[in-house]
Amino acid sequence: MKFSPQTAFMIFSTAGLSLLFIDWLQTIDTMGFFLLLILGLMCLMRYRVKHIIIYKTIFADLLMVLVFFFSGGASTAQLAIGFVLFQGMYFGFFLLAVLPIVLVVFMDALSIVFIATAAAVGLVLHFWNKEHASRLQQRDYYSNKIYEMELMHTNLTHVLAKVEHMSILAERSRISADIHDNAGHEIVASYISLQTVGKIMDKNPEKALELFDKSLARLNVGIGKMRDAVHNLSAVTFMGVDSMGDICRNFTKVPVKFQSTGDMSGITVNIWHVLESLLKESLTNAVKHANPTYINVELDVTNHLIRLQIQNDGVTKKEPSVGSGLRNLRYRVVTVGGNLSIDKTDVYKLVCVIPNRKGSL
Amino acid sequence: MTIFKFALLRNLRSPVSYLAGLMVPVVLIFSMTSVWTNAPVMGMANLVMLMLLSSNLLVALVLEDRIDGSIMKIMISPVSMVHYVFQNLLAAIIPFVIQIALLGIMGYLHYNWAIQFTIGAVVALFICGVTTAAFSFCWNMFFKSKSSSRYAFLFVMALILLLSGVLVPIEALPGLLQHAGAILHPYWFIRAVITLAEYGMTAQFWLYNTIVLLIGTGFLLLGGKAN
Repeated sequence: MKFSPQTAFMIFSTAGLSLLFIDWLQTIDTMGFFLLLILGLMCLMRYRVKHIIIYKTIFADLLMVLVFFFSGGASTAQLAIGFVLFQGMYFGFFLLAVLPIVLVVFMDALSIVFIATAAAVGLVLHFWNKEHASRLQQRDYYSNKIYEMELMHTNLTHVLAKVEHMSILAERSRISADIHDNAGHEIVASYISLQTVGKIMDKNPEKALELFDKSLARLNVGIGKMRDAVHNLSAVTFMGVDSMGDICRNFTKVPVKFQSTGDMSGITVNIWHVLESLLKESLTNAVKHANPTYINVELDVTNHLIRLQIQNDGVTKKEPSVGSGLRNLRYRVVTVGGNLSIDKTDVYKLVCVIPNRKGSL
Repeated sequence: MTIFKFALLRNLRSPVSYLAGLMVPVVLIFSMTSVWTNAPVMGMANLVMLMLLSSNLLVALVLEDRIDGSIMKIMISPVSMVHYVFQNLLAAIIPFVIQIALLGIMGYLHYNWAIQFTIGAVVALFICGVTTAAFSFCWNMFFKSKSSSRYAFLFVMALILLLSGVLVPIEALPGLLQHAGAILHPYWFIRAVITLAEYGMTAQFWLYNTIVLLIGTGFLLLGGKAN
């Protein structure tokens, strides 16, 4: 069992009641035990019944103790005041602290010391409990944040995987339509013409030759359309590492050297998207803020990690200021399970590390 | 009252519980004529001893329900925990009610008890019986095995009876131990019946009985929290 303020409170309450019982053993008066029993029951009710109104039970305790104290009906009443004060302080009824000041004339020194100690212990436990509750609340808050972030990460990953899958399907559909609508018709027409050529070759060789030339011409057109369809597939956009290389090559303001090593086949579309965005933002930032003479971009892919390093020799600001662009990118890197760090010691170095979840999507 | 009927039937199916809780006390009520006539306090102390023993057997059904998971099935139905405990305890105190009623009738008609003493004895025994059942309930709630609960109870029962003045008068105990049993109900029950025998149904007698009842409430609260 973890030692919490509640545990300490229970231990002190039990110890307090035991002390009162030991004190009662000196006198053995029935009313003293009756008072002790009432205090114990109230304690149990506060411990047992969740929705009990605490101030009412504390008030009942206090009333009972004061009645016994002033009537002299119970020997344990003096020490019982200390017990009630301890309980009251723990539950935050600080007004009860005036009680020993009022009753000081009726009590002996030992009882006053006991009561003051009990009240102080109750007060300490109250503030400990408050701090404990606040820490728990804080922990819950951060746990909730982490949970939300993980949930967002999971959702984003699933959505990206779906988008990737749908893009592939759309592209397949486009290729199929292109081949069917353009090249397919020409090829089928040529095939039928060539069959006719075979049939009329013996009877009318001139007509057959003319038809054969036309079929060849249509076949040529079909091959051309098929070439166009394939050309449309590969040449329109660069993807992945080609795209990154293209970005670096087309960046004309500063010479950018791009190097890549490792097997890139396992990197998913969403990670490529993050890496490209990061590269673009870094290149723009370098020109805007650092005025560098060169920029080096290195992309290393291992079985477990994807590491993108962007380095320039421009003027570096020592104070850690991160713009909104990089802040958003850092958030995106975190959502794919990675980490983004910036080192400004000698040269400006931005390092992004993302786990390589090859084949996980 | 379904839970009550079910608990009562289960109690009846267990012959040991009913032997200890009903048959033996009834035999004692009919056989110990000289004790009931000359020293009824001693007879009642013996009866409380048997109540303690049999209540553990009778209330152990609640522990059984908890161990075999029946309690979960019962709690799914629209039955509150308080309702469940109350009806089980009610079923457990039925043998006590029978024996106490029998003792009252026998005491008044056969052992020449005064009417005031008879009523006082019946009231004190009934309150003590209810508190004993509550004590057994509380005890069983702290255990996860029926046998360990039973063996530990036998040991503690001997201690309770010794410290409460049921086995020997508390004056015979060493100084420190004479009133250590005050936190348990048999101590106050013995005081109540001694007061009843000596002074009748005085305010002190009712105060002792109130203390017994409050201790019982405490046992119920403590047992209820445990599980």
